[in-house]
Amino acid sequence: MVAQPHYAFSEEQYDALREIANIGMGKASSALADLIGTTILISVPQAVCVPISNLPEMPREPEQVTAGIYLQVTGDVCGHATFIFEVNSAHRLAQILLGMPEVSLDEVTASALMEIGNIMLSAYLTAISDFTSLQLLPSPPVMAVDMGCAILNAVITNMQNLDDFAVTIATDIYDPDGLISGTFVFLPEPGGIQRILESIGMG
Amino acid sequence: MSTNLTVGMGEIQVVRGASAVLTALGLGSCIGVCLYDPLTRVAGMVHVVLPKSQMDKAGELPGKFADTAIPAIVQRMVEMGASTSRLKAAIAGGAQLFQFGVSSSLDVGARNSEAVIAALRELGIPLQAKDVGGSVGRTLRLVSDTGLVAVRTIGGTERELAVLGKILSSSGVAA
Repeated sequence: MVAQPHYAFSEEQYDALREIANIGMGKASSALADLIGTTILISVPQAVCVPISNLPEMPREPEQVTAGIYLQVTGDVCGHATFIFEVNSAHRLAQILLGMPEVSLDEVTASALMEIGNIMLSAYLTAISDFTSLQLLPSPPVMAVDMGCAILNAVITNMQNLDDFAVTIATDIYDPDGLISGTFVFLPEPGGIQRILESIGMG
Repeated sequence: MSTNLTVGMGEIQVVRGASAVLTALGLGSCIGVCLYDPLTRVAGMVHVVLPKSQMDKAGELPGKFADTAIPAIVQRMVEMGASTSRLKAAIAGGAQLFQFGVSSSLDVGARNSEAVIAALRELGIPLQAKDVGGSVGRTLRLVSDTGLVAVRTIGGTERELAVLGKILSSSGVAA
């Protein structure tokens, strides 16, 4: 029923995107590990082209309450980067960061979480920038607490060129004790992916 | 036993005579539009993403844009035996989850609401209930047997928004 995307990438090109995401996530996760003093692990990144109608169902539990930190990326590569973590993880991160046994999701906590997201997303983008020699400039971050699917939905609708398909590059992060878990999603604008691939000679 | 049908971004789902629940998960700035013909029980939902279609991008999912989505879903419902004059509508969504603190031109949610309401008005379809705006995501359900429309947000239980076609007006029985 749905047409195929007019831009299609080869398996090698998706592999390259995964590898780039892996480099970015390595930096992002070590930034978080340094901040909170614990080991942070990352999953194998996924890079897939999916119909937008499937996107809000991407979170494993779409209606679970999550905190989402989102920033827009401009420069040579335009796109949308978001870090979504489950609300219990958000609480734990805030507890560790603020050194308080109990926290509520008030303004102070929110700004602490936003800063964590900002540091991680920026580390991710800087690593990709360094690797590709392309400029990826982050906007100031914004945050929302809502259903995971609603947060993704809100991010997707900010795309400048919203096609029927979108390439998503996603990676999960977690700690060995299972206390913190979250997902990074990078949604480059269609031309952005081409730029990234060209920069590494895979265009 | 009822069938669950998810209505993804830009998708249109229409059922007739089936015991189905149509669901649009986590509407942010998107709008979920429920349409229902209480007589034939043709039920439809569309997940509108943006207010206006771009003319140079023909052939895309018509459900994505308010101005193409409403005529497209109505046509599908009429093909399944619904009558435009009997259709009742309820909408939810159009929120702004992220507060950018800048100009309101970024408020896609509000523009989506306006565009959907205008498109319904153009076809003379009464908007029986709406739950739009604010800053919360919504999950919208339409039960095809009864025309029941329910909305769920975080930290709240599902609440009934409307039973489409229940309020019988004189126009509601027009052939």
